[in-house]
Amino acid sequence: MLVSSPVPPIAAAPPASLDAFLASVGPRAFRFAEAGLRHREDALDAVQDSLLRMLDYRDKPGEEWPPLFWSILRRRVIDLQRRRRFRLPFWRDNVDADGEPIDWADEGPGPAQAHEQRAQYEELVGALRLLPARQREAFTLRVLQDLDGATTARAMGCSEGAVKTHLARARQALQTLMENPT
Amino acid sequence: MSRILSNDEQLRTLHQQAVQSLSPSTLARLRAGRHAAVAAPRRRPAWWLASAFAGVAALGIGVHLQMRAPPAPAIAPMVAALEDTGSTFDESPDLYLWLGGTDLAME
Repeated sequence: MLVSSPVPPIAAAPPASLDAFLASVGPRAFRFAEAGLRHREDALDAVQDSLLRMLDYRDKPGEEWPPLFWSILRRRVIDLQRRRRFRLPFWRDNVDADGEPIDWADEGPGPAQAHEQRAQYEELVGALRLLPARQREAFTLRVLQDLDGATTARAMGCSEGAVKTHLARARQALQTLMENPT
Repeated sequence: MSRILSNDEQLRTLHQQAVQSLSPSTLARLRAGRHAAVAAPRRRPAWWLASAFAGVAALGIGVHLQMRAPPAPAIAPMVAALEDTGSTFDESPDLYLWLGGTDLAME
């Protein structure tokens, strides 16, 4: 059972500045990219590129930054996935199939609790990595990142109805994967 | 683990814990990347450069076509001559009268 200390909710108010927005979104963006790319370095590159590209939109209203950022990051993740897929066999490493272990600091409220949280999150990410990209994006953005339906739809470049469809399929697939781990 | 899939709040809490449990090296990379991004010079679309390039290219193509254009007067006199010849025969029947009046074919 998941037991944890209270975590402050993700701020719903628009960020005061682009720098503050980038500072708050960076770690969450890394977790998003990590689940899609399976490699720490690729995830860091994707986040770095997305942060850089966001500077072109600093004149936009703060409410538009979240969907823009997640849309940029989502496309960057897809680009890196394609690049890695077409990499020549002798350049591939042996972690391509399953991906690297998730990034996790060796500290927390308690060693046993931290270990349990890490195991649970690792299991969740392992299942997310097996989902089709659209389902993983819908689940990650809508549930884990706690974006609303409209923002998720804008970030994914589809309708809110499509987001609901992808999300429902993702929940079903995750339930199956968790109940029947291979 | 499958139990918390039906509880979005627990999933968000787990994810938030994961976000807060990033390794120091990853956090340092993210921080450095953000600072580098913010410090990077602002990129603006270089419309003036694209316009200047298009203008120079159009000018070059125009000059090239002008230099390769064939000399117009070379064809014009030939056409004029052909037209003049035909009109001369059409407009002066004296030639045909002279031809009919002489017995050139018998010589």
